[in-house]
Amino acid sequence: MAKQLIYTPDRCVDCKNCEIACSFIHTKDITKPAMSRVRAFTYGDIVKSVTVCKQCEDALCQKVCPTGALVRNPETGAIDRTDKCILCKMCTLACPYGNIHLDPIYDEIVKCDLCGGDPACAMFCPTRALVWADEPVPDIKQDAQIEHVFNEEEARYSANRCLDCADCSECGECIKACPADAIHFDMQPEELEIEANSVIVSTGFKLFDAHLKTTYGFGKYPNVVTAMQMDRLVSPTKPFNRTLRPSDGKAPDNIAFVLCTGSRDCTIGNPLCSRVCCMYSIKQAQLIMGSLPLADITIYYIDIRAFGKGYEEFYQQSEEMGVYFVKGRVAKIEPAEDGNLSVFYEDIEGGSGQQQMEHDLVVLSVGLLPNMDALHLFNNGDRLKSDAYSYVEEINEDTDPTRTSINGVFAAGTTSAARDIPDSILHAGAAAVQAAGYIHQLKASR
Amino acid sequence: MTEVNAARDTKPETVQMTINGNSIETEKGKTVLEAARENDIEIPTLCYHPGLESIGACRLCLVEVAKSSRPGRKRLVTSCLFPVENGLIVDTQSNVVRQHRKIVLKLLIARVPDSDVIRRLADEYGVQESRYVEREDADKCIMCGTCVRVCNAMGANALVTLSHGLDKYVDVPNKNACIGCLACALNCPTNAIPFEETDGKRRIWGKEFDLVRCWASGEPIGTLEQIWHFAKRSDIPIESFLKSDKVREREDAAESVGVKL
Amino acid sequence: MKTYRANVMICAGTACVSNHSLDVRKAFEEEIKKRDLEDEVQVVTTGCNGFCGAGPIVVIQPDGIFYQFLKPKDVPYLVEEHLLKGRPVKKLMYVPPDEEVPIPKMYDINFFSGQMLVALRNRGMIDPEKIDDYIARDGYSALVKVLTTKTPDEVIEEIKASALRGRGGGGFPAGIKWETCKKAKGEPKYVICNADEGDPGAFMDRSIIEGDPHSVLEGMAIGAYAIGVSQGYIYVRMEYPLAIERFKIALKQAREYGLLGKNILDTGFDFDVDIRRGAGAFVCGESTALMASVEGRIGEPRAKYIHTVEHGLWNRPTCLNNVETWANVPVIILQGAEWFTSIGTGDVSENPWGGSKGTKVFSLAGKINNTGLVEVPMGITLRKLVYDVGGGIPKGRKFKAVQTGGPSGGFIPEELLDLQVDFEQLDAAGSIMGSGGMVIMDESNCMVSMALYFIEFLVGESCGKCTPCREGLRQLRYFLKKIINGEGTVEDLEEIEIISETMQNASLCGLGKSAPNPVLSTLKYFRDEYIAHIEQKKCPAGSCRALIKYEINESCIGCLLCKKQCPENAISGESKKLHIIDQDKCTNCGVCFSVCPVDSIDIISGGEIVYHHEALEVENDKETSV
Repeated sequence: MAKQLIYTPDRCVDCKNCEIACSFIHTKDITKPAMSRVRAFTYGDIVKSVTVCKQCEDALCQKVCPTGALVRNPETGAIDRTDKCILCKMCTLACPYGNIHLDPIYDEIVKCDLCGGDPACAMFCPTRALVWADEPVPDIKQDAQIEHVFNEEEARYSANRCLDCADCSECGECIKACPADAIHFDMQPEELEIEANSVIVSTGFKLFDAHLKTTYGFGKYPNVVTAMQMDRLVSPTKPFNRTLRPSDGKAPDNIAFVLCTGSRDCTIGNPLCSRVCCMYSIKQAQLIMGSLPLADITIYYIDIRAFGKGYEEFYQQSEEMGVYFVKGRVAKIEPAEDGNLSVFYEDIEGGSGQQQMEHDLVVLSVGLLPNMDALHLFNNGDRLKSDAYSYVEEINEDTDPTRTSINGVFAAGTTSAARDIPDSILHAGAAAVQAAGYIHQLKASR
Repeated sequence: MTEVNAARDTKPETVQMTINGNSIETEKGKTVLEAARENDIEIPTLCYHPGLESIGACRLCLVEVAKSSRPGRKRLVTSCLFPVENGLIVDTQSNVVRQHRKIVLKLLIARVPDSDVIRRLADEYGVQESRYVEREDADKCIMCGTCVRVCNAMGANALVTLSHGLDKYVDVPNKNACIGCLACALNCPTNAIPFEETDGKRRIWGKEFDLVRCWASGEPIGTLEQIWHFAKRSDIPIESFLKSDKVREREDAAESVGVKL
Repeated sequence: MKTYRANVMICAGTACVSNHSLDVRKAFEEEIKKRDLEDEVQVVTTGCNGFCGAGPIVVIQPDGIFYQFLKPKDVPYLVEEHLLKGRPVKKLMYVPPDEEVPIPKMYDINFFSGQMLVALRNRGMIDPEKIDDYIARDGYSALVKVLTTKTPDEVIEEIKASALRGRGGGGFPAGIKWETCKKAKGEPKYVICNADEGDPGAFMDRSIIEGDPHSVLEGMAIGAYAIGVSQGYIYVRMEYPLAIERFKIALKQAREYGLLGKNILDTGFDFDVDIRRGAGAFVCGESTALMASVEGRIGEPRAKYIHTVEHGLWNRPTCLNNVETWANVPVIILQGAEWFTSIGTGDVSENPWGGSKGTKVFSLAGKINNTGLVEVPMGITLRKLVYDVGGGIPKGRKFKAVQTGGPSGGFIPEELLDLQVDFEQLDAAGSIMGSGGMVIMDESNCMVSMALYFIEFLVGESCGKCTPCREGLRQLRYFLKKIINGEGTVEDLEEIEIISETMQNASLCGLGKSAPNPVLSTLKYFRDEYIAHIEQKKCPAGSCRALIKYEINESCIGCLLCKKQCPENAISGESKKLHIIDQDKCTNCGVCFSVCPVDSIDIISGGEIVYHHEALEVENDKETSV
């Protein structure tokens, strides 16, 4: 079988070596990654993709060329752009994949020519995400497993030398580097007293501690994680560069999301809807679909609250993309074999009563709780009143937002209610205006 | 358009000839110029373009040829048109050839005194001062016919030569036919065709075009007429033309890993 | 079939027609009717008689009496005297220049006796609009002979043996062309008749077509049979409406008689002809430009490394020949190649380029007594052509040069007058045979101006595709104008020669390649005139306006004629007193010079009197009519 460029997205680290190598080989005097024939993209900072001319058998670019300037090279199999080109740019418009471009500085049409048979992009890819081969090539890490550099004793010894300096190891390099001398390790917390005309309280929220929902087994079963942990597992800097489940490092392929964990739940004392979990869960589901394209994702919900502009569409799009939405309150989660979990839920929509489903990873969509520390901020004199749900109360929430029970003190963001980011920002703006108005009034009355 | 390619798909017979004393092997059906360029032997040209039919108008590619059966009987021919044959003896740099190239360039300078391209070429052939009369109100057009041939290759057929003889000139008589693709200007050997792009409009040949922008990236793709023309000629749906190649690339890359943008 | 005792052959070629020969015809018809001679005397309208400078011409047959400069008012007297009383009218006959005794018979007149008619064999003898006339003079019998007794290859062998060379100017052996076309691959093949005749002053082809169109059609049919062609085209220049008309009539009649079209004479041979018109471009006389024009493309030539006999009209093998070449073909078939090779110069037994065989039609024009069309055997000397057949230079002036071959040709000076007219000898002298134009010049023609005249003509006719021709012509015109205006330098001559050499070698087509010929041949033979223009600011012929001035000498009789005619009122003087030209006002228009009855105006150039021109001849009719 003939060699071709094979791309494995999971291995790609978006280092852009391929672009640099390609443009360097083709322009020789300068490197111009903008005119690289191969392009690397990242979507949502998580999902990587590399695209390059597919040298189509029935190439549209060849078909539309009026002078026959695009010619198949019999040795490399690539479609080469010859000097018959009259710069009509029809090929750049015809290619459905957009892999052929006009270089506006040199005024020439550029496309991948497989570097005459040994593509530079594959040569320089550090992780073998892009290879020039006739069949898929094993992962670099698997290579490393073959090489036994240390025996077990040496390996343990070396491992224990680790400083665990992912946190700050206080090596002091940053102090040396900072030109503004802005870093002081010996700085201690200080308490300062400031006299202010107005105070805005924006103390945020607390995330529901999933341990409290004992029936879900968080803390007992390793493959039950919170959404916050899941965020880390799909982030661009995730450990191992892949999404793995905690117990055995296997890539999960049947993931469940349990919505309303710690929200709308009197048993743990929060009857409120946390407002953000439906959307962030759907978002996470989409991200997972990017990094684990083969995984099945099921979202167990009571209601899907997709209330903003484009939110409903986002929800429906996820459904179209294959996320299973099951209307059913999850009652409990029990362990199954191999670290899998059985999720027990009530099939509300289907009406078939209690059902059970096995998943290999469960994500608890934890909700927002009020930060009750805020209520103790004002201890002498007037106190900040709390509402029925222990949030800082806005005394006239509908007509005069952010105003608290203390004159001149305003609440912003999730201090006073569960809000998503856009709403928090809006609310903060309101608080700022209120505060400014209050100060102005003060000055005017003097 | 792909006739040339089709003809070459069948196995051609080989031809042995000499150029400047070097033995060359090439294929029947090629011209002396193609055979020379394949072997890195330089012959200057102005009206030649590999993608267009040669017309032998500029006369700069003249070479001396003779048959091996009668080497003394030399002819001066345009290498862009003269077909190769077995036993052909070609001289691309003889005194005769250089002299005629020199005079052709001297005549061209008188025609386009403002063209740097021609002056540089002429310098190589030792043209110094000239007592020739310069053309009045001269532009940079050397009447090579490249723009007309390119426009015909595009299928727009908007450019034609008008009048004849010393007053011959190139123009677009029917403005409706011009699609504003700039192929003529980009291929002109002396950059004699002026055009400008400002304020989202392109102006060439006395016609103003609106530039269509990529719906996603905002960068200009081409003129509306150009896009319609391409769509009609290629049966590709016109919507595909409204995205720039960069946007299509990004979308294709996303699709291949399952990301919906 | 009726026989008449006399045939009045009235020339209806374009020149005579424009001199009202059709009115003369009408006068004859009326007079003959009036005299009740309709059953005895036939009036026949023929094609061009050839002696165009003497029209309207009438020849009374069978006597062969030649009448010239006829007017309708001469006709009644002529009919009475010659046709009724048998007394030919001397006053209407031809009188040789500087002589007094008229020559009654046409074949005694030098103009005619020196000729040998092959292509023009039917000249003045047939009505070109009657196919029967043509058939009566052996017309179409060559075609019959070929279709019934010869194979196509035999026909080609006959034409090859005759060494017939193209009469359009190229002189390429027709037989070889036909053979190459026949062998070439591609179907269908075509034959073309090039009737574009663009050389200024050339009207040979026009006369053949107007006078004997069937000779061309028959020739084409024979060629088509030999090569294997069923479709022919005639490309006629737009400026020849009468020729086109005559062709159309001829085609119609030939088709009616089954001599053209499908299954000619039941032999299974198909051949038909379409007429295509030019549009006023000289360059479309060049074969590749002509074919482009027929195909509907712009008439521009292409490089001929691939010959049109292999890839011509619509990329098919095409055999293109000139009108005169086709007209020769039937005669060769009937009389044989051997007869044809007995006429002319050289030895063609090994190689058809070894000589020029047969005859050639020339048009004599310019400063010559007998202006018209002549057909003479190849090999006749220029001297005989100019002085015998042509009747010499009028007004007793001196021969200076003869220009042959039109804008592609050159000038032959007096010292080469004994040169034999054939392809090679004319080439060797720096000129070409061309299509047969011969323009004679006397001492009043400035050779530098003549060179410029041809360059200006070509400037207007160049297609403009290739650099050497287009830009070379621009520069040649510039340098020649400089010289004519008295601003030339000797370096200009060098530039002219260098540019001319490049044009000759590097141009794309024959127009560009031969464009410098007039200039180069005048430089070769009349370089002293160029030097005079440059160094002495003198035009020896007294012709270049920037270099001459007019002065009235003492023989002035004070007649006031020039003063009245001067458009600038530059002449002063009273009756019977010497007139004077004010040089500041004078624009050198030359009107005074041409009206002065006593030749008292001199032309001064370069400080000397260069020429006395005689006054214009009084109009012809005062001398010759009754």
